[in-house]
Amino acid sequence: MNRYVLRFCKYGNMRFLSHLDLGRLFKRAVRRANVKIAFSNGYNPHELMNIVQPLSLGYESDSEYLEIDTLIPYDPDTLAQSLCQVLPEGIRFTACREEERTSKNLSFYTQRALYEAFFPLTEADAEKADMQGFMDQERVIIIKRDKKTKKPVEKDIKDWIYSFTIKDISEGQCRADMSLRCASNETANPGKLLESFFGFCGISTKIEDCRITRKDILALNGEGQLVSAYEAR
Amino acid sequence: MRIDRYKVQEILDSLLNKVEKPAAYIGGEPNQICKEDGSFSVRLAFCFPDTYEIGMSWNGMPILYHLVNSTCHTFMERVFAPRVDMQEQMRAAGLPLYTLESKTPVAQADIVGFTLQYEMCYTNVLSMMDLAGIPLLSKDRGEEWPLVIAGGPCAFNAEPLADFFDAVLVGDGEELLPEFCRVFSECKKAGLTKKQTLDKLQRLQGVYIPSSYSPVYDEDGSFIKYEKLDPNAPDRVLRAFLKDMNSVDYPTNNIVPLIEVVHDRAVCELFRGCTRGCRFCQAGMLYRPVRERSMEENLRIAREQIENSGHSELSLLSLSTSDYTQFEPLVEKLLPYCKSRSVAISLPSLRLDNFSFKVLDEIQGIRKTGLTFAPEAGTQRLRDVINKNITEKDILGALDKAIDLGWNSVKLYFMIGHPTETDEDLDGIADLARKIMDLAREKNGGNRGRFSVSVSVANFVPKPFTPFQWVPQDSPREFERKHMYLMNRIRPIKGVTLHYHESFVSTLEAILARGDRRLCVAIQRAFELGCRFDSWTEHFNEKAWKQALSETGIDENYHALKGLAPGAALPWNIIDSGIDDTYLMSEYERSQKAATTPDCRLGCNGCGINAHTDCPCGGIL
Ligand code: SF4
Repeated sequence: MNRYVLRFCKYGNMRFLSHLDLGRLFKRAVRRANVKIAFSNGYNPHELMNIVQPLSLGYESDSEYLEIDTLIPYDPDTLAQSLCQVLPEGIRFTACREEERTSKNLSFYTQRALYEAFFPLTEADAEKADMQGFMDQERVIIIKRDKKTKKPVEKDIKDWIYSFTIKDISEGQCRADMSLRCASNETANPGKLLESFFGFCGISTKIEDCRITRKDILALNGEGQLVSAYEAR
Repeated sequence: MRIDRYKVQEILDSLLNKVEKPAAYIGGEPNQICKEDGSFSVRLAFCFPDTYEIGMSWNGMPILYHLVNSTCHTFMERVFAPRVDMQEQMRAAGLPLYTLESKTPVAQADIVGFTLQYEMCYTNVLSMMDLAGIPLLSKDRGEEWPLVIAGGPCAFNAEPLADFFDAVLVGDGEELLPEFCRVFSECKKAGLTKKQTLDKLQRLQGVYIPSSYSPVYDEDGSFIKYEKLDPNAPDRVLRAFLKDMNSVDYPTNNIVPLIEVVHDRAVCELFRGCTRGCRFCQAGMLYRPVRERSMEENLRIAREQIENSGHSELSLLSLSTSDYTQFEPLVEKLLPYCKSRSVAISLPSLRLDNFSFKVLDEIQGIRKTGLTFAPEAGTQRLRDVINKNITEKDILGALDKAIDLGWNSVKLYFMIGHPTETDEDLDGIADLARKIMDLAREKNGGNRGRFSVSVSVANFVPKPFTPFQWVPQDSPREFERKHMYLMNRIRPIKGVTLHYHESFVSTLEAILARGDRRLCVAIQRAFELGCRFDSWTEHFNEKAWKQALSETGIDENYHALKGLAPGAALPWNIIDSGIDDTYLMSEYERSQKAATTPDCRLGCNGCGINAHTDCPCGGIL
């Protein structure tokens, strides 16, 4: 068996495809391109494929990653091209390479994700933006929904924020850059962070009006350095 | 301000973050067709009056989409009913209903077409027109508005919506809809007025122009006849017929939805129509005659669809799948093909004989699900009345085999409220369930094990163009009594569960199905009172509907409960379904004597359809 990692982008209306939808889309692309994908053993065999670190509904991305295991070797470029055939406009494979097949997939090694967000900010709100004060808090609380009980719970993500800056780019428009924890079971959501920031400062911008893009996912390579997940293994 | 597609996308960008299932509103799926402006002359906004997930599961959509878009004159785009939350957001943001392909506001299309697949979608038709900003009443729409048309099985009696539509297309749509668009495009090119255009369209077989006729009622409110307002209009509008399913270029490059829809699968319609002649079944009458597609074509279509879509399920569709003459060889060819690609085959409406067991056993392997029977009535007498040709022996015999092969659950579908039904027939339903449980216990050494029976009862709704079109319907109260009666008989039987439907919904369905033109105001009133998504239990608003009916003077008793005198004028008879009225009447009379009528394949029963088109199925067995 061979394992390939493919980098893809997700733009425009396709940001509204959920993680599950995307999985189904890729499975169909594999079938349609007649790629000899490997299946898991067991009662209910499924395709051996992994989308590295799900992206929240509504976010765009420059660099997402898909790993697939195949029964026969492929030329990486040809593989990416043939899988592109049935993808809708807005989702494209931009790179593909073979990686060593190990028992752990790439999600195990990821550490951080970089995000960029654009949002409107009124003049009055701009005065209120207090990044220093926000980051000096002892705890940075976000509200998330508990996976089991579905009830909103508080969570301190201060340790998961590696950097968070805001720049005025033009009249009433702002850009935020964030580097946040993105590892198995430890993921900080950039939208929640912005929401928390707006709440802390008393800014009226609504989270629905923020346009968020994931720039890349970083992982540790063999030497223990943080690099793009594409180059990590 | 005239909103263009860029503005539509801009507003969408600002509101899709706020709604559930945003991907239902974006289009852009693999295999979507998008024509360049200027490369076509007619824009058809094809509306399915329910959600994306339901509309994209309807197998007629890809057919019409492909056939219409294969023409050079017309660009057909899809429109679905936005969910309630999206409707609110759209209204708040000033975003009108738009097409998924090019994001063009629906009101800017040349033709807006609705497919009417079930009665309970009627308020959605109005809410979609309203969301599009199009005046509801046909008479209020001047030259600047699109032509609003409808088709689908409910178009056989579109009277309850007649005031809203400029034209109604009746019968098979494969040839009619593209031809309709072609004639329209010529009229458009010639600069004809709406009136002149409709006059030309009226000449096509299957096109009904409601405004060419005006209904006449007597003093006590009974419908008597139509007065023709346009001397060129035909006395009765004969439905359109597709003569040969092999002559149509059926699509194999279907749109693959990006989100999960109700039926997410490749579909192959083996044949159209049904020869069995169940007397309550409207589809069995409206889709006559049986037209088969050749095995080669079916094989090709199934394979190409799977290859082009990447679907992992294939459904072989028809009203009675095992009646396909080439069923065995077809399935024998498809099985290994599908197995090698790990594609599951589903076979709805299968009769359980030896061959189907072999097939089911093979395709379901160890996980045996969904063994279903539709006896429709609890006693042989009542099954004879409705002409449902299945016996208790058939069912128990099939189950005997099924249990041996490892099935441990069965679903039984019944209808209650058939003409002549008595409580004895209801007892028959419980008895059958008990006999099945007994059989299972006996075969399992006196132990029930995990075996279960699910009994589902629907409420009978008399439908136009069936032998039961005249009969009265049970009142909601009577339905409820019967549900309780059945519940009391079934509850004591361990392992059997009973499911039944809301009664008033069925009453309403009967009112809408057999309604005349006076219902237009009632439906509009219901819409104004907030009714929509009436087929969704969580949205159905019984109170508002009752208010709408009473405010507009529609007597529930008159329209649903009271039977119509055989021989009375029927508002839907403005349409000629191709089936002789005398045939329907004689079938009705035979039903009253519990006399059965054999399958057409054993000999033609003289329904009259062959006077209009070839009927290849008579007496072939
Ligand atoms: S014409 Fe005869 S064989 Fe054909 S559908 Fe009618 S009754 Fe059946």
